[in-house]
Amino acid sequence: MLLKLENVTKVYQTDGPAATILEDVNLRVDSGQFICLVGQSGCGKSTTLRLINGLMPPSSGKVYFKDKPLTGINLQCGMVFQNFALLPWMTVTQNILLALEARGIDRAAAAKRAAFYIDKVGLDGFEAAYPRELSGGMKQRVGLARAMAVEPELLLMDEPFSALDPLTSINLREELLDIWADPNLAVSTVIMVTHNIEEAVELADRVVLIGGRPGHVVMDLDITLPRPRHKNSEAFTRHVDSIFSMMAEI
Amino acid sequence: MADEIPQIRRFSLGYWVGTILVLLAAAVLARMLHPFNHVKSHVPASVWQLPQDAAWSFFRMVEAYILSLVFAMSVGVYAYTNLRARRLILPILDILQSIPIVSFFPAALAVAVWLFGGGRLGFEIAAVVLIFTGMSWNMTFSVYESLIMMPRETTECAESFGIRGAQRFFTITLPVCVPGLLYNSIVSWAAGWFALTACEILSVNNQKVALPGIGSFLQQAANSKTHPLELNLCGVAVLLGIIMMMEFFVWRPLAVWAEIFRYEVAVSSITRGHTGILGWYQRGWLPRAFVNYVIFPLTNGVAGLVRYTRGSAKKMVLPRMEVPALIIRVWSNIQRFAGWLLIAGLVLGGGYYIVNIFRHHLLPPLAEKIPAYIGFSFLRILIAYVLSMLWVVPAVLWARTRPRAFRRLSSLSQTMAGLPPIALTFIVISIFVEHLHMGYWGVEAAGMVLLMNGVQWYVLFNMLGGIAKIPGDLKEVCNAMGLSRRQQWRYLVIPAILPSLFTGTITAFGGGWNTLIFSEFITYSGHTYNLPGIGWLLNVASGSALPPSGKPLPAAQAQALLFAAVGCLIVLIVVLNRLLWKRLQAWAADRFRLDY
Repeated sequence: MLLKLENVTKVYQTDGPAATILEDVNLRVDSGQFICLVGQSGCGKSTTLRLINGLMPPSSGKVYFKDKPLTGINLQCGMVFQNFALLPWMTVTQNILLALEARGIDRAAAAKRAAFYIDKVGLDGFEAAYPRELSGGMKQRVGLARAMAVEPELLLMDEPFSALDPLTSINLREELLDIWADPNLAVSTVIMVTHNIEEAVELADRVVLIGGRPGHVVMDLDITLPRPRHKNSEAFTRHVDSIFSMMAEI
Repeated sequence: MADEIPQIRRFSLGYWVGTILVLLAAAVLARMLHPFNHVKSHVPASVWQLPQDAAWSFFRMVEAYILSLVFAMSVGVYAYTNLRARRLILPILDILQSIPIVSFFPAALAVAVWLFGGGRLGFEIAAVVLIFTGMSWNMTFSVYESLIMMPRETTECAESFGIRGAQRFFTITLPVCVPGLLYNSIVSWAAGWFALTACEILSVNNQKVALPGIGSFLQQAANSKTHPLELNLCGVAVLLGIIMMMEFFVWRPLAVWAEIFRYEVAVSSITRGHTGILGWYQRGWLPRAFVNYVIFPLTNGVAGLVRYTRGSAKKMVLPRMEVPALIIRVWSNIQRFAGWLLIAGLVLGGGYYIVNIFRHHLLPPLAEKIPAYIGFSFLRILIAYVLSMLWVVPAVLWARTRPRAFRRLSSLSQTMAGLPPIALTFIVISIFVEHLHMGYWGVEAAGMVLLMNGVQWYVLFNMLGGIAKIPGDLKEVCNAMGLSRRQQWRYLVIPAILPSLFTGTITAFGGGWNTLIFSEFITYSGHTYNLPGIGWLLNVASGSALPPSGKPLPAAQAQALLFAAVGCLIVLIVVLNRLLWKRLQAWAADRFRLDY
């Protein structure tokens, strides 16, 4: 088992009263799966992703990565952010190199790897461009290339397509599936947060619905439809409907 | 790879960091080559000395500026990362920022002379520290604010990918601060030039010390009995020349370059017209050679050292920035203990010092005049402020739709804000006193012009900034609705610039308090002109002016008077800021925010 969340609870303590975001979240993830965490905004799905990455500790409960309890930031994860989180003063290549150099990968190897992943996401020719010179879709490709370049065992994506226009996000979704299926690339396990149910059914092997206040796992649905999936097929709509009706019940 | 000439990329922070380091080295080297001679109480103003004086002042400014940069980065970052320290640092900075620079004089002088002796070195260091006190606080605030405004995803991204330590500082923390630091550097340099005269002519125990520099040159020129006008004009011309050269060779190219560090994507017109100098810095053979043979070896060396000390991170799980609870508790207790110890030490030491001063003279001579004089001075600042607003507001509204005039006004405000009051003395005195023979009211008028010079540019500067921040779509919708010019002022422009107006007002009053010391005690061509006010009183207390009795106050009494006056002033300013200005500013910033 790659990842296990055991009775994870997260309480935010700001100036006001403490707010419990997540309560008793349990989740097991095997290698090679594509998982989508769905739920309404504010349900704690992004928090779950940050707990998995180790950006913050759970208030109680434990996160296990490869059967070891996680005590800090998990560098075997690569994160893709909703608003790209690219540094505007660095070129495409520099943005990717930054993550590689932080891991102590020597310059020559890092440069080679950055070039490889820039090519994989279809950005060759834009190596020296600055993020503001790129379209939204291209920016997210850089974010994806950066996360994959660290060759993580677990790719985490926080609403990666929600800041993009519909057409771009359709293309990028297809490419993500290609990359995930590519045997030459290290990425095999993906956890993606989204509020778009159709997107989740289209991409995932498993859809995990988080809901309620405080948030917990409401539904854990395996999706075994063959890929590529067609949105108009009856099976597809059935899955979407069942998630929607579950969401309405919470 | 080795023989390939590296091109300066569009982004190169190392270039500027390296340049600053080289400048510092040059400044220090120049000082070491020039033997420290003995301090003099009087340096006769001579045109032939002027280039050298200008160089001395420039070096002092560079040193104070670098000191400010280091202070701003370290304290700003500390306040950002340490919540507990933040609660202490921010209010202290706020007070330091709003009290007049002269308040630091006694302390800075005493410490410098105590540490480095009464020789030239001690006074040089005191002068640099004094300029620093006029430069650093706003820069520190800007560092803190830039970091606070940084998108949360950026910090998360840095954490997630394990970007830490020196790498994080140079690739994220420092770049984030660049735009704010740049804007505030311009303000700080203006403040530094403005305070130069006061920093280069120091008095300790009724003994006057003049350091060679353009500030003391101007002061001596004003007191020259033979050619005050000519000498003054030469000094002002040289000073304005330096300020304008800084604008042309440093601030403008830097402003274009710094656009890359902004987070907002929509940068409408990145002042593309002014990239000429920047282009030369990046592509000209001389800067390239300088970068290739001086800067790159330097920065590469540092970068290599950083990599070497960090080693390679083979670990797969990085400890979170949060340290275990026990360490936090112990460390924060140590910090708290040290903090309280420091505060207690300051309070006790300061208290002992002050009590010692006032032991013999509970009420130093002239102290009974402090409240009334503060009142007079406040009234003068208020009038100067109103007079400034009377021309600034129409000018800004007029320039709003005229980009050329707008740019001219903003570079005018930056240039003029740096002109020390002493540079204008000869004009105002010869107009109001010597030609119009207006007597006392002539002196009042002359003082008012000087005071306005310390007030109006801040209002103008801030209001222009407010205008520039009005979003384009709001302007478009107002035009589309066919609002008349007057209606646009009323419904769009004035509400939109109110927050900047209050910010400008706070800085303008700060500038006013700083100017009083020059505008209420004017010396020109051997004559002295006094106005009853706290500025004059501070001059008496610091030994520059004579009290009505005609004999300088004994040192102990002068010190007691200085403490009393500065203390009252600080209390008044802090109370005024807390109760009035900050509230108005917060209200305006909240009520008229431009995002929704």
